[in-house]
Amino acid sequence: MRSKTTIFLVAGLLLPMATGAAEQSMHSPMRDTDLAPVYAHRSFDASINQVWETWTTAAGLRTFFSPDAAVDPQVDGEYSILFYPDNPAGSRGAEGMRIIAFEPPTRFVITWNHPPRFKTLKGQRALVEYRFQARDDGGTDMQVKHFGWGQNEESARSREYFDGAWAAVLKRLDYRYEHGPLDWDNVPKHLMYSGGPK
Amino acid sequence: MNHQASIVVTICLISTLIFAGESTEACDGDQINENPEPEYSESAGIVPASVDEVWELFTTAKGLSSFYAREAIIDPKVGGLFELHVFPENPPGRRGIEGHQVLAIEPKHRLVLSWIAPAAIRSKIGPQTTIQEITLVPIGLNETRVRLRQFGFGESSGWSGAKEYFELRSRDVVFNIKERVENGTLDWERAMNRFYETTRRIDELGVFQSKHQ
Repeated sequence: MRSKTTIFLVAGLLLPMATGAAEQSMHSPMRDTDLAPVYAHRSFDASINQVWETWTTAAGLRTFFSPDAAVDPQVDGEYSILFYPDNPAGSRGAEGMRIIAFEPPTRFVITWNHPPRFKTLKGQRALVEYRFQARDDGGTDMQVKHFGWGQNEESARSREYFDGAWAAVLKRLDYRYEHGPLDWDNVPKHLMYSGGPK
Repeated sequence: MNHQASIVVTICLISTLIFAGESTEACDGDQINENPEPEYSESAGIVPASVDEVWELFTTAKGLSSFYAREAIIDPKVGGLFELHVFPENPPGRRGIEGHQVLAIEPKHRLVLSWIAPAAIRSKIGPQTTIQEITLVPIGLNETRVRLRQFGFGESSGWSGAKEYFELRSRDVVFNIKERVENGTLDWERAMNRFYETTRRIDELGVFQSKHQ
């Protein structure tokens, strides 16, 4: 049995979970300007095919992102991050995300929801694009682009949240390449993230 | 990863986090080059109607089928079905936008839809999906700014022409919604002639000819 405490701390990461939070009919105030994408970059001493596998298979995602995952690797396929795999369907983590584009081994795009704390964004989808480029030395450069934000105050706060969360996820991926897959019963404290605006 | 590389990556990451949204400059040697051009197509115009009226046109089947395509289906909630049948007489799978969905909806302001990639692109790189974002901003009691953006293009040669294609198509949509507001439901014979004229223009311009070749 996994440590619930550990999983809870880790689940504070990127993906909102289904909650019983009441729908709000009013949206937060509109902004006049578009919110820029969040970008994050990493370089790995691993081949592009290895990095692609890590991000596009359930087995790969289990090594750094969440204790379980579900990936149907095709356009409109499922891409779910399951922080609580033992929970009933609908409360296992980030469920129901879809693959929008899938171009092995250089690019894929998925839908992404917002943390439940941002109640006016409940159910809304932003997008995440992953791009991979093989380097001459056999390594791989990766770019994550999180975009498609709304034009309201909660979207700005969600964007701020993910700005920090992506850094935390990539730190865990670094760890995975340097030390091997995460032990979900014993996740190092420095790899946890529950920050961002409240 | 060696120690020196780790430091460079760390500096890059910190820079990215600090300046996200303001700068996307790459750190040499460690990052994928980002396209300096906008990664979306855009068309916009002022429509002589209230934001309530324009929102209704974009978020109901009746509204959409009066200016966007002859038949439409929309369930205006996140995850709801969205279809535009440009060729309703065709068999399923060949009618236009089919089986797509609403990705985000901010009432009377913003609608985000998944959207089929053009056939010329699908024939090269498979059934990839793009995104259409419709944004409305009231600029008076009876005037609304309508902006259509298309996102989600890849950078491989297979995506060549996507931006130009959607710019031309969305320009027609902005024209059509103005005509709808001013003169009522479109005369679909004229509207389809305009559609085919744009198709001819897309062919003449050779927008799908790869720039990478």
